[in-house]
Amino acid sequence: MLTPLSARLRNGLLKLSAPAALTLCMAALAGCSDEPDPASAASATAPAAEETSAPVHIATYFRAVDYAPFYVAQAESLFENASPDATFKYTAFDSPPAVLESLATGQVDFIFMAEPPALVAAAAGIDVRIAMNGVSLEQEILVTPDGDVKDVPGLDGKRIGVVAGTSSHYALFKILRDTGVDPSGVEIIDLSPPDAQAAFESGSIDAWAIWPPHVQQQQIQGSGETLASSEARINSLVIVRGAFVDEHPETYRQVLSAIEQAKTFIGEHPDQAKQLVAEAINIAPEVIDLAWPKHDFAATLSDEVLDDIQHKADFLLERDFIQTPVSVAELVVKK
Amino acid sequence: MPLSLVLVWHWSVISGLVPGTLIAPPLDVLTRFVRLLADGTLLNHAVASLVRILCGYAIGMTLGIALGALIGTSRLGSRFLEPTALTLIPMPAVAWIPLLVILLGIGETSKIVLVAIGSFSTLVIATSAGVRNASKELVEVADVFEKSRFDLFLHILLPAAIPNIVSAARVAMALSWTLLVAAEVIASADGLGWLIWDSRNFARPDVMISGMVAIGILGKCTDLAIYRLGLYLTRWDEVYR
Repeated sequence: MLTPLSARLRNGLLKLSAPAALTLCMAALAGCSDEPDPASAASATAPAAEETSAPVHIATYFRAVDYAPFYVAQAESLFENASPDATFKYTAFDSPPAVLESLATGQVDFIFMAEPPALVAAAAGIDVRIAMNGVSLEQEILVTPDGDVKDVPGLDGKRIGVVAGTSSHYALFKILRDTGVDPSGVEIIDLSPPDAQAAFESGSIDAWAIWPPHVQQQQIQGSGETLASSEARINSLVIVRGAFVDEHPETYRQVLSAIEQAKTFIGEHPDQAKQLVAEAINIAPEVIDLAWPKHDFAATLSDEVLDDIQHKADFLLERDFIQTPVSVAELVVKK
Repeated sequence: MPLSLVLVWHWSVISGLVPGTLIAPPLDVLTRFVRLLADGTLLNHAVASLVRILCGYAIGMTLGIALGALIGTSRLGSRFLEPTALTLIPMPAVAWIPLLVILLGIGETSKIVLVAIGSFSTLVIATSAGVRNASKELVEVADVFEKSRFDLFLHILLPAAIPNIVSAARVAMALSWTLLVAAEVIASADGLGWLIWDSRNFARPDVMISGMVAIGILGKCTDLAIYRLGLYLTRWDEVYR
């Protein structure tokens, strides 16, 4: 039988052991993970012997036509050919938080995505850099064919679905302002693409600012048509984890070279590239055919593009999506 | 225990075990929580969430108890409704979102119904099982005294199911809070679930954890209320504790 003293000791040990057990569990989990350990990655930073056995993690945010250079490079093994000593792992993220969390913990090295998630990451203090402009594409606004909105001024007072804080959100505001429509006069509804599709097709929203292939899927179904083209563009960037550039400069260059090769391939063999993209994202070839001309696969990080990205960073700050200003020029990887 | 958890949390962030860009340290969260409370932000979001939770919970509970009672008391109800109900219940509530948006739009109704699905599912199973567990002897006594089916239900079957219903009601409330985040991602601009989702999207961990703490506090309060109500409703039931 336990004495009162030993009972108190036992209770004390139990109380102490709870956080200790939790800590041990966390440490064990970190040790068991097959993902790269950010702490050990940070410590193994000898540039001379830069290549490590850790795989290079390349990801995309959602699945989209503008990631064509990635899909082509992956399908044609261009990454592996450009960097034979490295191994590559590929992931597709479905939500922005997972992107930020993976970048912050070093679980992804390169990610193909539009500008805002990278700007949000930079504003939050996560070390990300802009490696290149993969593709530039037009922002379009979908309306229903039998609806009463026939042009951009007709959007005044309407309900428009968009993913808040994205390039499409910025582009929608730009299109409205450029056409003389006060953005405060429309009702912006924050909707993820699947929810927005349901809302659009059921008439809960009057218009939908979205990216390919959603636009073309609606067009082919006959349930949506686009308003006149605009100057608003989305830049589909290649973002790299800052530490990766510093620790593995050679692999970094090789990955970029593979993406450049993929872009060249797209220019020289568009039909084959379309087929690879259709297979990669499991989308009907006619959707890809319709979306293809909306993309500029030869886009670069020109001054004009950097200005556009800076405007988006300012928009995010102005709309309170981020709390600290971001200087886009400082995010670009120095040559 | 809570203090130990806070210390581990603080140490994990300070030591760099978890990145401070994703998980804010406790003191930052406390500061943000107080600010959000003082400027009314948390209160506004909490009110929006409570309205959705309570409406959804009430609807789900009512329909769940009604269907569970029907399945438990009627052989016909059991034969025709139970297989369908048991097939639909395991489906993830969030998978219903597109259908809810199509049928009910992007307003409050779809959010409330999504929350209701959780409590409905829990209560159907608990009520039908509770009714079936009623004492056979008591049912036979009611038969001897030629009590109506309604009397049988009201005085024997329903009281027998109440302990089950009370336990399920607590689980259902916890489930409703977890479903709130999914519900408030549908075309929302308010609510604690939305606040957590939005601040996670835009890397504001202090706001995100403040929202989580607020849900924890409200969740504890609603659980306590249901627990007390349960004790009152089952005061006739002499149990160990």
